[in-house]
Formats: sequence, structure tokens, C-alpha cells
Amino acid sequence: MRLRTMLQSFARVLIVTMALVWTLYPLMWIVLSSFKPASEQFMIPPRWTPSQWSLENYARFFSNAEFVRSLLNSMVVTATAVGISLLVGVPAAYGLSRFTFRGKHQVTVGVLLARMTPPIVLVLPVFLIARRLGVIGTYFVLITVMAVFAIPFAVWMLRGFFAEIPKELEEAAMVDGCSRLAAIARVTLPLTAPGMAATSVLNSLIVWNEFLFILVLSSPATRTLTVLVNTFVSEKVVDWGTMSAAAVITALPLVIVGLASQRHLVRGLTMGSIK
Amino acid sequence: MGGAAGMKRGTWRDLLLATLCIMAITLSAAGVAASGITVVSEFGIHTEAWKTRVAAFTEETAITVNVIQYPYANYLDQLTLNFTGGRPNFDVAYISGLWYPSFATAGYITPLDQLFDDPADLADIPGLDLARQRDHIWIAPYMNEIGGIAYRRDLFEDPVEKARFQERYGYELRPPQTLREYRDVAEFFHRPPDLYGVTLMGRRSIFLATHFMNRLWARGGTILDEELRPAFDGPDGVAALEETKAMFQFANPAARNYDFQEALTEFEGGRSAMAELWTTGLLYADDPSVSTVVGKASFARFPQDASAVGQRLPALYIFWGFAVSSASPKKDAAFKFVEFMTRADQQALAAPGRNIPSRLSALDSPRLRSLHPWLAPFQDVLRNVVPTPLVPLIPEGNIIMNEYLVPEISAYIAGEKPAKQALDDAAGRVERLLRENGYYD
Repeated sequence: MRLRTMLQSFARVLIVTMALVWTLYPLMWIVLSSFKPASEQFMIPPRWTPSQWSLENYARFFSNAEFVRSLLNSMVVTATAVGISLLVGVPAAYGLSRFTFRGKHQVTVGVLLARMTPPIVLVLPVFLIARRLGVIGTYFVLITVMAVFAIPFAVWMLRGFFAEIPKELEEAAMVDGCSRLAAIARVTLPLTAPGMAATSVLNSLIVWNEFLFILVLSSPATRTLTVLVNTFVSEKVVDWGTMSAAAVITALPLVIVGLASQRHLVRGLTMGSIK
Repeated sequence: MGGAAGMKRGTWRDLLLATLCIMAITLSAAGVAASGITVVSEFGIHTEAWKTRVAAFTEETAITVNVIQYPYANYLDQLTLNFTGGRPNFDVAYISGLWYPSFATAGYITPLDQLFDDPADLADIPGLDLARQRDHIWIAPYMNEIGGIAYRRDLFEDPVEKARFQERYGYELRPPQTLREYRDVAEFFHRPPDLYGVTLMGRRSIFLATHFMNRLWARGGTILDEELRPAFDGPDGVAALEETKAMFQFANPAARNYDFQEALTEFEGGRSAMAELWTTGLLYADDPSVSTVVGKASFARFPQDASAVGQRLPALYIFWGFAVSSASPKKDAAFKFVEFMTRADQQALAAPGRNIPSRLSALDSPRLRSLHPWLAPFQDVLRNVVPTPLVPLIPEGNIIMNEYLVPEISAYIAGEKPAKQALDDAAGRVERLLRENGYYD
């Protein structure tokens, strides 16, 4: 019996290790490449670790004139678009989960249409509209478009969380003298905080990593990090070292946010899934 | 009531402020180009070269320049999107010489004839002839390069190696001039795993096609004949393709998956005696931060078939240059910019380490020659070949090469088809495409 338990534990560890190696291998390669000098990027046979650890690639990336601006742009666009998605998504999700009205099902599915359409199909009309309005290259268009993509995700995620909170809790608060808005603010929203955290983190991932729309709609002044990373690919050569450093730096803020909100994220995701 | 009214006023004030902020951001971004011209480009070393002369241009003309750069991988899409959108956000576009035919056909760019009305320009800029279609010059060549052989001068000039080669092959070791010499030299230096005879690019890409084209042209062949019918599937084409595959025996086995980057890295790392590369590769080989062969590499034209030695044959030619948008409201300023940047003195000042000037006279710059001694043989090659574009300069050129020819060449190299069948299949598809597009009416 004990042997069987040990074997099961071993198998579990083995499977998890294999899954981690499978998923982390490319990431590890990128991280290690970011510390390799240019002459070691393409050694044959490939060299896993650099012979001399070098911060040269990071220095080159940090010294890029566009780095600070792109980082700030990523932060501004992501924070604002995710904020807007919550501002719009919370009441919309609440309404869809609590109230019954004609066409509710169609509205719920309709919200998802923007996400169901392949981005490449939308990019041309969005570009032409933005061009017509003269807003190409502005934060306004980037934030608006990113929010448009983030809102449906927020609505669908939060709808499940709201549905999980018993109506009776709000009714009890209202019996105690709260208005509906006060009941939502004091009872429902605090209970769905993990769900909102999870939604925000996942939406941040989507917006932070967006490339196509940002590329098409931004100007050098409003370009974000994902576009900047791609600038190290030229016609014939790729600056793999700097690009790897850029990829690490670009991913780092989200990894930190993910780790910091890990507790809420797991709780929120679990909560939403067992409605 | 008063509180509600105050709140409403406050709300409206906040909304107004927010709207004004958004308008300010919008206008500030849109207004960047109002005071000068806007030049759009990719991120690349030759762009970095001409960017160093922008301040001098502004000083000379009082015209300010706003440069917008896009990642290379998305640059053509971005340009096309801007052109088709009707109001491009730039006055000048720095583009590949392969792209201008479709832009010119669609009317997106304007002729530059007035900038090159001096007949001397035609002799000084080898690419200018390729920039001309329908009696107009559409693009001003700025950067150019040739597909040829980068080789290790230190190995070729080593007395011991020279003596050994002489003893083994019965003639002097030198940069190969014929296809047979090329095979001999590659075989001689092929000492795996430390040194390979030649570096090739075998991945299924346009780079692989360059090996085929080099050999096709070395035999006097061509991709399309004068009537634009495919002409690459004859005996010369078959021989060229078979020889492409045969040369891989003197290359690193990994070269079957090489692209330009990997090939360059192998040559820079001193692991091959020769590399079938483009001239730009020499700029990187001279960069001590990435190369172990700094000052040891030089350039030679691609060898010719013994029967064609001495003839002025086509050579793979690539150029990038400036085109002016038809929609630009500041064409005069845009022309001044193009004229300034393509002047020989400005090209020479901008070039070190980043660019290979399109003007032969710029290549005479003593400063450039001392930094890159291989510019002398490069200039010599340029004078003695017929610069021929990587793809036919018709709007279908990229499709012909990338979608029809490259897959078939790759299929042959991978052993999936005989050479003749692969080329016939490609030729059939090319002919069908061009017929459907009305070329043979």
C-alpha cells in the first residue's frame, strides 16, 4: 500500500516535471540567450549556458531610446484599458447575471462577437475608421480598441462570479436598509473581488501582449513594448541577444503581477468555474 | 437640489476636461508632421546610416524630418495599409527595390525623374536602371549589394594552403572564378567539424533560391525571358539546381536548415572558408562584437561557367531606396530630402559599418575603403555584372519566387522530386499565373 502511494507520488512528480520542462524550455532558452554574447547565440552544437555571463544585451535594450517610453506606453494602455473593462464589465455582468429581460441570451452572446472575430479581419476597418477620425497614433485609439477587446472577456468572466453569489445576501442587506447599489457595493463586490482580480490579470495579459492592433494603430510616440521587441528583427539578421533581453523585460511585469496576485487568481478562477 | 446641480456641473466639467485631454493628445500626435516632412522606414542598419545625416539635411535646408520606423517583418503590410487607406501619413518611404513596381503601378508613388536627369547618374548608380519602369524613375537607390562569395582572405593568402592547393589541384589557390574552381576550393577547405568548405543557406526560403539563381545566371540562364515566359526549367536550370544540391556536400550538415542569420554566424565564427552570401554580410564580419574574422574577409563575384568567363553576366542585386508618396503635399521638400541623401558625399559620410552606398563614386571614399577594404573588389564586381533583381520586377515577382520557385527548389533539395520535375512544376504555375494576369495577350 505504501509502495503504491510512493509510486503514485513519483508518477505525479514525473508528469509535472515533464510538463514544466515542456512549457518552460523555450522560456529558459530565451532567458539564457539574453545573457549570451552575440558570438554564442548560434553555436553549433548549441551551448545552453553562456561561457561568460553578460549583461550586454540588457544594456543595449535599456539604452534603446524608445525603451522607457514604450514601457510607460504599455503600462498606460494596459492599466487604462483594463480599468475601463472593469468599469463597464462589472455592471454589465451584474445585469446579465441578476436580471431577466427580453433578448438576454442574444445580448450575452452578442457581447462576445468582438472576440469571436479573428483580429486580422477587424484590423483594416478599425484602421480606416481611426484614420478617418484622425486618431491614429493616439493613446485614445489604442485604449479604446484594447478596451473593446477586454470588455467582453470581463463581462463573461464576471458574469459567472456574480451568479455564484447568492441573491439572498443582497436581499438581506436590502432588508437591513441598504439600497440595491449599496448592497452591491457593500456585499456583492467584496465577495467577487477575487474574480475581479483574476479578470484584471487575465485581461492585462491580453492587452499587454497585443501586437497587431498596436502596431497598426500606434505611432512611435505611443508604441508599446511588444512592438519594440519586434524591431530587433531586420531584413536579414535578427539581434537574438537583445531581442531575448527585451522579451524577458517585457514578460517580467506580468510575471510579477501574476505572482503577486496568485492567491486571488487561483481563488478567482476556481470560484468562477464552479457556479 | 443645489448639491445635485453642483454634482452635475462637476460631472460635466470633468467630462469636458477629459474630452479636451483626449483632443490635446490626438492633436499633438497628429501635429508631429506639420512642420516638416515625414519619412517612413524599417528598422535596419542602412536606415540607421541615413538617419545620421538627417540633422545635416535640416541644417542645410531648414526642413525638419520626422522618421517613423516599423519592424521589418510588418513594414510592407504597414506601407500597403497606409497607401490603400488613401492618406499615407508620410511623404517619403524608404523601401526595397522589389516593392516599388506594385506601388508605382497603383499610383502610390510619384516619379523622381527630375532628380536623375544627369546622364552621369546612370553610370554612377548601377541600380538606377532597375528603378526605371514605363520611362520613369520611381525609386532613388541608396543601399545596394550583390550576391557573391564572402571568403577568408587569410586562408586564401596563407602560403602553406596555397602550396597544398597547387600540389593537389595543379593551379593557384585564388577566389574561385569558375564553377569548377568553386567546387575545388570548397572541397579543399572542407575539414569538418572545424572548418567547412562553404556556407550555404538550405532552409526553404528566398535565400535557398539565391543559390539556384546564382548558378542559373552563371550559365547565362534567366528566370523569365523577354516575353516574361518562364525560362528556368531548361538544361541550364536543371544543371544549376543539381549543382546547388551537390555543393551541400562541402557545407556543414546543419546548413540545410540555415537562413541568412545562421550562415552569417558560421562565417563570422570562422567556421567556413567561403560563404555564398550577400555583401551586407561583410559589414557584420567586420564588426568585432560579433565576428572572429574582422579584417580577414573579402568579397568576390559569383563564379561563372567556364564557357562564360569574362562575360558580363547577371548577378543577384538588391537595393533599397527612397520613394516619394503621390499623396504628399510637400513633394518639393521630399525631393530635396531624397536628392540630399543620395548624394555621393552624404552616402560616404553615412555609410561606415551600416551601409553599402549605391553610388560607385561614394565607394571611392578613402575613409570607407580603409574601414572596409572589401569595398574595392565589390566595386569592381558591381562594374562588371548586370545587376539583376532577386525577383522579377513585376507585381507578381514576389509570388513567383516565394510561392512557386522556392517550394519546388526545396522539394528537390529534400529529395522529394527530380530536378527537372520540380522546375517544370514551378514553371507551369508561373506561366498560368502570368497568363491569367494578362501578360501573354
